[in-house]
Amino acid sequence: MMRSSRRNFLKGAGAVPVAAALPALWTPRAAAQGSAAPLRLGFQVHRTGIGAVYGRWYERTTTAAVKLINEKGGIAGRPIEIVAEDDGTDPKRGAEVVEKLAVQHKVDLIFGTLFSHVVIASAPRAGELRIPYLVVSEGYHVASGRLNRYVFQPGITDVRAQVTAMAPWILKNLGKNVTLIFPDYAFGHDHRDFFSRVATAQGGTIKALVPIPPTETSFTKYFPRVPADTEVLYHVMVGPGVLTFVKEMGEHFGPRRPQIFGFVDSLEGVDLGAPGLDFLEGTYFWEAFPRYAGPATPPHVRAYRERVGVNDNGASVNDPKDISTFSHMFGCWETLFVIKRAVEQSGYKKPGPADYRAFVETLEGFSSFPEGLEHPQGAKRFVGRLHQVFAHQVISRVEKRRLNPVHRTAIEDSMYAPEADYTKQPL
Amino acid sequence: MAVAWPLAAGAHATGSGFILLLPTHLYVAGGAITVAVSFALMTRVSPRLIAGAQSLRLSVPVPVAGHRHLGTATSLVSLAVAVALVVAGFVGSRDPLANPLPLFVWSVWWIGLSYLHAGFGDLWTHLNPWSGLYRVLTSLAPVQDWRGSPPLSYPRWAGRWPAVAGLLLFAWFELIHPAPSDPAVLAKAVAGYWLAHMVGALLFGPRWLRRAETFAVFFGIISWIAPVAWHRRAIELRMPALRLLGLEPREASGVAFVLLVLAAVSFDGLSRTFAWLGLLGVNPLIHPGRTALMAPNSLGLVALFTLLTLAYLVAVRRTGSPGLFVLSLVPIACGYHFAHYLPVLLVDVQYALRAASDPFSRGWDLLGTRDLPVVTSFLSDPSRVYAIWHTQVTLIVAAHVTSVVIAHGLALRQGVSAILTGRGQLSLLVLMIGYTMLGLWLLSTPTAG
Repeated sequence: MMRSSRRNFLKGAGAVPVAAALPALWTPRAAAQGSAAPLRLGFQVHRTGIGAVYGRWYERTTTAAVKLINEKGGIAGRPIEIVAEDDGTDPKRGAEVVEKLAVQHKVDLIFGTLFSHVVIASAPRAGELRIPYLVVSEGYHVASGRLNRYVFQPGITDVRAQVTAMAPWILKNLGKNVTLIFPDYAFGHDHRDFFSRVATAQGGTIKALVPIPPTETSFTKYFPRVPADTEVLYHVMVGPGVLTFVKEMGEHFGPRRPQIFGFVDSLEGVDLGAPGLDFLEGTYFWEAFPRYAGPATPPHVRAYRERVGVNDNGASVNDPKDISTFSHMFGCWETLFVIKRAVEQSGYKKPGPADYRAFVETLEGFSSFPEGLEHPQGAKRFVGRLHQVFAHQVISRVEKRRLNPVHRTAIEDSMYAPEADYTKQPL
Repeated sequence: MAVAWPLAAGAHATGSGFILLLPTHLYVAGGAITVAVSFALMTRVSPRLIAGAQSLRLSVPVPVAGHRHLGTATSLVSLAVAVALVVAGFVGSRDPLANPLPLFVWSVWWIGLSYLHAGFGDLWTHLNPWSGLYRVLTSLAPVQDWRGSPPLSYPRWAGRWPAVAGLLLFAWFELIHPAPSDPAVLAKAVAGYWLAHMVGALLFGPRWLRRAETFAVFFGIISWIAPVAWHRRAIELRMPALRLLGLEPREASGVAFVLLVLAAVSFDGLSRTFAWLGLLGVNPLIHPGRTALMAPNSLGLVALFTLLTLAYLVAVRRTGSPGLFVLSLVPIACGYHFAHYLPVLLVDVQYALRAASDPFSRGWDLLGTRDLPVVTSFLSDPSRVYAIWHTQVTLIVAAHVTSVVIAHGLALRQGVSAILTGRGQLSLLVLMIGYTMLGLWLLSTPTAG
């Protein structure tokens, strides 16, 4: 459970008489915990709003990672204290939360933001306040150069890298004639643009692009737009209509379907045994991190699952029907271990320009992270000029309503020509 | 945008992906037909049978029930809990799911206590955090006379209008304010509300707490459908909801209050639908957050209240008594409140238990529930999603059928024959069928936010 220490709540006018009556037990938590002052990490979390389901699992993963780090002596001998603030998955509040964490709570660093529109609205404030801001959002906005020197994404790969790594395998193993079905807004457009670019460069043909309006809940009228000579149907549908989409896709194509490839983003938090998903049997999905554990699962991944409380089906140990957001939440865990490494190597002590400069430059100097309990998803390459991490990606096949990994890409498969260099921006 | 909107997002969504797989239009039609048929059957029911059911009651003597000192004590305990929660709002965790204040206000109190009022009658009279302190203060020397003769007299024209205004503000805060669950924001709101009504009570006397305080009026209305009524030395058991048949017609402010309760909870549902967001030109899959929707949603809340009021006035024009027939809308307001908030309550009560164990974020574990695993899979596990959905549908339809019964009973009170009352109520029936369909549609359509 997240906890925070005493706030300067006396500012609240209504609290003054109450505060006067409080006994001496209100010593700050940090003082009670030991001699080393805690490292205060601001956790910008989507507790309410449309990000709440992801937020719940991001919080659980973060709590587990903090517990492990603190058990092993903390960061540079200091225990981590998480200061969680809800941003309501609201871009404007996101920027306010960044300011609140930095100015009011005086945290050392801020991390954890997920939804891209919140990241894009919050990052400029972090840049103005000159406080390191480590996001776990999967967006290309970091590596695109659109943000600023203080924003990093060291714990999860971006969508461009994921698509770049998938394209060659799809063309080689499933077919070269591809039709894309995608929601008609930025998320779908990223897939459309990045996949089309890589696929055509590698000899593939985009047979058709089928955009679906985001508010659509029935899809039968779109499937006839898939050309008959399509070998691969690439889909990235999201939202509550996904089950209906799969069901209607099955009704349209039946057994004479093309090969089908999707992104697990569509089904994060959803049981593959759920009604309506029968048609997915034998189709393929991108996963960042295999949801289902098996005999080949390495010990450090098992240890990670145990710590977070996830069983072999990717569901909560305490609530086996509660499916985790397994391909995303590891990003919080790995980001915390990157923070640990960067704080310890940079000699970071307290908020301020000199220590932040050391932190940023140290982080930019990293080039790789080894696979292990600190990086359970796998080894990483970090590109300092892009502030972005690169990783192995996984392709899984749906077999007996489970995702079974069939291929793991090399890290290099996901790398693209860099378009930005944050290290040239002033600190 | 890189991270996508997951299927199982948000407590309100209730696995709406699974609901979309159901033939929901048949549920909507079935609900409407049930209400229409129950109306037709009611016109055949003997007025004597209704009167008989209404007079069925059992009085259980309980000497301490309604005792003033007991009420003072419970109110003071409530005040102590409220103070502790407000302190927690200021000093506890900043996380709205770890701080007890938002969880107790929005779930345990606003949702849970409503359920308890429907089951056990008017508890707020004794649980409100003002009346105990008021009695203590007004027994002290300087203001000893204030209870008998308050410094100001509560004007008759004020009716329940202050409570209506309070409900409108409350609904706006709950549904439209960017951060109603932010512990510090909420702590200030709660402290401000408490202070305003404490001052009101001291100046205008106990009548203020009965007529001007929003939740006294709200919980009072909910308790009308309860099978339990509290008297000074006894507890009375009777048929649920039939108490509505014996109530006096409401004045204009009372009518407005009931309509606003219904409008607010309906707007909470409506404002999350893809249909509403589409109307605003907003992509629900990348919902821009509450801040961006404050202006259109404020207008929408007021517009829905206005529309509902107009529809109601048109529907009851032939009965000639809007103050009486508004009582027949009370079961609908309660039913939709219970159905709409059910999934939120099921999740947040668990978080509330965790938060209560360490309210001030001091590392305590007072109740041994600090690390209680929170179960949320009923929002994404199909069998349980369907169980909740069917419970909600049943609540909505049962509430509307009850409303039909009450409307019929009220018409009979006006002294016309069953067949004639049936004709007079046709337009009210149309409103009720329309609202059944709206309620079921709101529960079945995709939502975000």
